[in-house]
Amino acid sequence: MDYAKIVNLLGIIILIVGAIVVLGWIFHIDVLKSGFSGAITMKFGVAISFVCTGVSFLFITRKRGGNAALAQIGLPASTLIIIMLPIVNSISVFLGGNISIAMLFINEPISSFTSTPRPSEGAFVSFILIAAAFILSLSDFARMQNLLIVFGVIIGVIGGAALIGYAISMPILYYYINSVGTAMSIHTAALFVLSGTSLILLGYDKKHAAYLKTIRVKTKLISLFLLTSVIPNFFLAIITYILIRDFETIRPFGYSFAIFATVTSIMVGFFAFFLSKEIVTPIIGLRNAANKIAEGNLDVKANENTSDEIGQLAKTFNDMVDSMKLSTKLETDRLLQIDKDKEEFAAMVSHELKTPLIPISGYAELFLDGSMGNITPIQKEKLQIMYENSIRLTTLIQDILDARKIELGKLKLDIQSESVRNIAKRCIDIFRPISEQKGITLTNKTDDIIVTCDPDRVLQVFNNVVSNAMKFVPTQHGTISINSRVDDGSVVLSITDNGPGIPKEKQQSLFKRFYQVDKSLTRKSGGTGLGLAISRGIIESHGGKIWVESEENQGSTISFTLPLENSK
Amino acid sequence: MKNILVIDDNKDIVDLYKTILESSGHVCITANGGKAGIEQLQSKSFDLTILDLAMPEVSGIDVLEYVKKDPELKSAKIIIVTASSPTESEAARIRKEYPIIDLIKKPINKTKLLQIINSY
Repeated sequence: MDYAKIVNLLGIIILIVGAIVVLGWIFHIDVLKSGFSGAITMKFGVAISFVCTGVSFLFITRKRGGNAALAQIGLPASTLIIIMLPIVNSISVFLGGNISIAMLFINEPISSFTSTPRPSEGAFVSFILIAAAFILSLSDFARMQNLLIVFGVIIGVIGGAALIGYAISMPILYYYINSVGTAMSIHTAALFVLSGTSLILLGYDKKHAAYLKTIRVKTKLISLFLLTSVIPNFFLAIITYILIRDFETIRPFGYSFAIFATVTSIMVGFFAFFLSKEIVTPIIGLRNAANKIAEGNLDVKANENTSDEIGQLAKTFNDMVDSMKLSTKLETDRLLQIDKDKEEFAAMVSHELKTPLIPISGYAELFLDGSMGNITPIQKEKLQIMYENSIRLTTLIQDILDARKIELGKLKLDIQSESVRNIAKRCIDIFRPISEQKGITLTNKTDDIIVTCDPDRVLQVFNNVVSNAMKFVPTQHGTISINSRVDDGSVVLSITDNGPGIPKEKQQSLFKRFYQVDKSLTRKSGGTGLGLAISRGIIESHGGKIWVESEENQGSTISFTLPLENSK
Repeated sequence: MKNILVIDDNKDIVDLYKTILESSGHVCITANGGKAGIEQLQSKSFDLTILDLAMPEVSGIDVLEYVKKDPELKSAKIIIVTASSPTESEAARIRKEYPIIDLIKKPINKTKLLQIINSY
């Protein structure tokens, strides 16, 4: 339920009724003043106060939208008038005269007023509470919303009691006590019931609370200036009254008094506006600077134009930002240095580990191919083991470095146009000696399709997949074939073997690092478990994907995609 | 038969290359380090020079700088064989800036070495 809309509606009713009564006074239409013929009139000051109350309700329900600015200046102004009227009237009580705003504006002899122009005590209390509610709404009232409800209940009870008084013909309830209380008119009572209801609704309106929390500093300052500016005007009114003590004489000055009050209010308004702007603008500047810093932009400076407290705050703020910048830079430099050190370490490890392996595998190779003279078959067999292990160690070092590069996203591709058939051929050439020895059939069934890729890296993928397959296909009648097909702008390359296949539940993990399908197979087949993870990294760097299709005991097919040459 | 200079700071690697090359009938002169390499390059001409990059004191790049500046060494055919892993951009820069005919990453075995030697 939208309380704000109901408050808006009630505000409009209060405003219209108040305005009708004001017009009744100005144009001497008795029925407008009293509601119906012969009833007690609503006082002129009360009618004006109701107009302002209605306006204030309209202002206060304006959310933070296009109307917010108007509401921020309008609300203090209308509140000011509401508070002024009962104060003027209460002063008249203390001074013992029938002073009223009405007497300044209504061109009728005092004797012609059907009752004293002074509003009832109930109206005093109600308007003071209404004004207090609006003033509190302009300050940080969001946390005190329950107070709105309390005020609303009191005002509603005051109006309600008067209405009951009329209903059961009990004058004391509508504050008519001969020579002490002034009667509250029936429509005044009704409007107080409406005003009280509006305040209660505002108290319950949680959406409205958000608006109350967003009252700007500027609004608060303007309200403060405007409200304090009332005091000199009151003094002026009181002094005038004390000096003259005769409303018949003062009345001609009424309009000039009104004009004077209006002009001073406007002037105070202007001063209030500029002064508050002076105070608030540097604060807004600071807030904006802080917002930018929160967004991560440290290249901001708050304005240090003034040397007052706000200027000092701005200076401290700027110093703080400078030191933040410095420490951020130091931290960034430190991280960059760590990164650099790690790079250098990796490069050093790569170089230092690989270098000693070159003579080891190199000489083993020379012994094995007979370049170093004849060796016995048993020596040859053991040397073969040394050679294979040194090659394995070299590959492992390279794999670890590659895996690290992929993990860091630092794998750089040397993109060229190359035929997939050529890459597949290079792979098969590498494995031919071993496959012939083991009796495994390696076939290149790829077409001459040109792809954009890093050929050396793609060869690495082929080598990883084929060397895996070599480990698992049966010797003597194992088959491994490389196939190609074009599919939707990319080339699908598949390596199919007639090995034992990979169980479905293990296919998901196949491309994870250090994953071995079967620990017992590991012993037989060796390998680091990095090859397929690196392969996936390489293929993904090319914007492709890699997957496996396999049935147990029916072989497996590992496929990957590469972009066609003209697809980029 | 080719007249080949091998420049590498690792004596074992230099000896290995020499063994491989000589067993295949090539003539191989070795230089242990960049400084010795430059001296050899100055003293006579070679059909092919195999150069390592990461060497202490006088590095492979220093050797290349020297070769680049010396007009007499304009015709020198240099192949870089490196165990460090230069990034593609670094490799491209070296290829562009210096008069080398190839850049090969170690590890390198007998077959590969002879294949390279025979292709130039």
